[in-house]
Amino acid sequence: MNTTSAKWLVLANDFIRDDTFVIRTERHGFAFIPGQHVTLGLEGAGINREYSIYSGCNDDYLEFIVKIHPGSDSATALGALKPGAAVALAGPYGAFHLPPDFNTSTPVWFFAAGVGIAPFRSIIRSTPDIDYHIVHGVREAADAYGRHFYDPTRHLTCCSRLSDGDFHGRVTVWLQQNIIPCNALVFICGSANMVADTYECLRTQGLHSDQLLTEVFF
Amino acid sequence: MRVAISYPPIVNEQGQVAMVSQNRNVQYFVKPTFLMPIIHAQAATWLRDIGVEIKWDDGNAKQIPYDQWYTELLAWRPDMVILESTTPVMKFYWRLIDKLKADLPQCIVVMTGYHSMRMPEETLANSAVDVVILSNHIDFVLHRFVPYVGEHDHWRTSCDIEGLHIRVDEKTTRSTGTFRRVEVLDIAPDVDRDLVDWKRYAYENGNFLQTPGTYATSVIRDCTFGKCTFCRYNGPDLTFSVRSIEKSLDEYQRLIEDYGVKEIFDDSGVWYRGEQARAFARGIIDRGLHKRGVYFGINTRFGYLDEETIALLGKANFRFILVGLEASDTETLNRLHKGYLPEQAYKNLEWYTKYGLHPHLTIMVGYYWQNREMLDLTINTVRDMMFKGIARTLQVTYCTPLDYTPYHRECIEQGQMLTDDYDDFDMSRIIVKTPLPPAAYAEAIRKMYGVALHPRFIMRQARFLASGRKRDWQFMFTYSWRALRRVRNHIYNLTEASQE
Repeated sequence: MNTTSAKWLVLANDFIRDDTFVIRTERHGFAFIPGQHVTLGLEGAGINREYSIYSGCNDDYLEFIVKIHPGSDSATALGALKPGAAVALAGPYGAFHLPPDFNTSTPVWFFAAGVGIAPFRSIIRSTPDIDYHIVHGVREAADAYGRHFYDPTRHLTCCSRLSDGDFHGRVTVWLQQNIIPCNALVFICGSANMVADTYECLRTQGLHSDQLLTEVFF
Repeated sequence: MRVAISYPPIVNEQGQVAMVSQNRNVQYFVKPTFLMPIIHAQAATWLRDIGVEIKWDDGNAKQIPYDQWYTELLAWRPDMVILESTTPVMKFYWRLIDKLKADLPQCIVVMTGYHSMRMPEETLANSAVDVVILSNHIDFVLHRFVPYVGEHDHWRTSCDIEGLHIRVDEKTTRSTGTFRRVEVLDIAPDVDRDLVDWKRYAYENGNFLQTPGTYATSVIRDCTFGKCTFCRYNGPDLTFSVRSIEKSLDEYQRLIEDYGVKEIFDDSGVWYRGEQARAFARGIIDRGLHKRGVYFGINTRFGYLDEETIALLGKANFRFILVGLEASDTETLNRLHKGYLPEQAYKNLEWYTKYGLHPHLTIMVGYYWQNREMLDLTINTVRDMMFKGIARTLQVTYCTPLDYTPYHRECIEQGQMLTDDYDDFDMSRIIVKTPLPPAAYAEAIRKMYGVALHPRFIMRQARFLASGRKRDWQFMFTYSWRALRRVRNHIYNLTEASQE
């Protein structure tokens, strides 16, 4: 059931980069639609933060991928939690997911920046039969979190700092050189600027606004 | 092009004025509060900047009679009139539009606002309106649309600017698609205060402890959270966008130095959080604006600001902090998708108060599921917060389904509505089926507002005077009479008027 509870125990907490970790918690039958997010915070801390669910709807746990930005006390505190610690969780929220009448033959393109990959992993993990492609914008290939999980023919990294990915440059530069199918359903998730710029590129390619779903991470 | 951005005076049979601005809840008040409609003001500024002749036409703020307002509008002979609406005044607007189109057939009437945005076909069917804008980013739409109309005779068929529903001819309408883009807010200009007669909004506003006050150009459009089911800032087509800190600080400095503003409120659905909030506060301090005797106010959510950030806001002379405590029971918070836990509310309020802020609670009653236990918990929690001094002021309203928000649609789908007459949606009465009789919710409102007159509350306010803070003395001796008048006004509107 959709619920709030002060007792969601941490099962694991693993740093996958110096500033990025995956926190796994109990699920308690928590129902969600892949792509949705929750609010997550320390028990009794008085603050929380929105995080997209990283795990699939068939997993018996919940996972979230968290990047610690400078000055982010909430994320720092979450990163320090050990298994057995409790978190406060509420949700799920949001409509950033496949539509109820989605036809699996429709090509789906996911554009992510950094940890904006989270909702897409959840969607793919839950509905692996969709015809998807991911374009993941990162600084360097090592930031392409969980790359091994995706079909390598459907996953592409755009590295803005190093040239060790599939493409050297930002997602928007890649979009200037590649055309997205005109019948695609497109999801964009990342910072406000990334979402705005990617949106603009796709509109320029002729995709209609009704085909474009956005989620801003902040 | 001559474009009027118009707010007609709407007065009900009791002589109360409907406040229709900010896309907020419309309520009728004998003594109105004037809220500057920021996005429309930005639209006016932007259009003026690109050479459009603008009439800022707020009949409410001018406090003129309807007939005078209408006569003056006709005499100005606008090429386009832009209106902003919400559910309770839709029928009024439909009649107005038909009259306007009869008197000025060549004038293009554009409807904005969350109700028509969610139900464009309805407004096109029920009035002679020419265009409905499907976005609250009306400034971004209009600064493209107005010049387009001026340059294209066949704009009704050729215009492909997103976010419009256009009447093509008597039988045909067309949509240019959903306006869903994420905008860089810095593109939009700051509000030109002189263009919109800012002083008309500078005094009669309960958010200001000191006047003249003003609303800043909002730093965030829509809401960073955007999931509360009763709220207009909710929908798959809405994605928040953020203004840069430096640009906003520049505006604050200008308002203080050039306009002599004494209090600035940012009515963004939810203001900055985290590092952005701290950077803004540091910017205020670095510029010395915190020493000018000016207070700053914001909307926020429980769970959004940590203690370090709140401490910095206090240091930067922030005062008014408006936060929604829609209810105190977990079930209601879950149903409303509020995204915080009841205990977080207490903790946050304690922090606000510790650092000298004046928290203002916005409470709602009358949800279709709200039983006696839930209602009493909310009443008791609110009274406890006020008696403890961790909340300073409050407002209570009936939760009225409006503007086809998720809550509104939920009430319709579940057969909970008692009326579908939009005139009944003015928040003066319960319009959904409830487990308790309507009088129980009216009584709850009285009890919560009644706290302001309770000796325990007054004693607690007196104890704040020991802090030596100017704002606490102002609150006790300057603000209290105004607050009491507003309390009386609110109680009348929500409990007495409905029984007349």
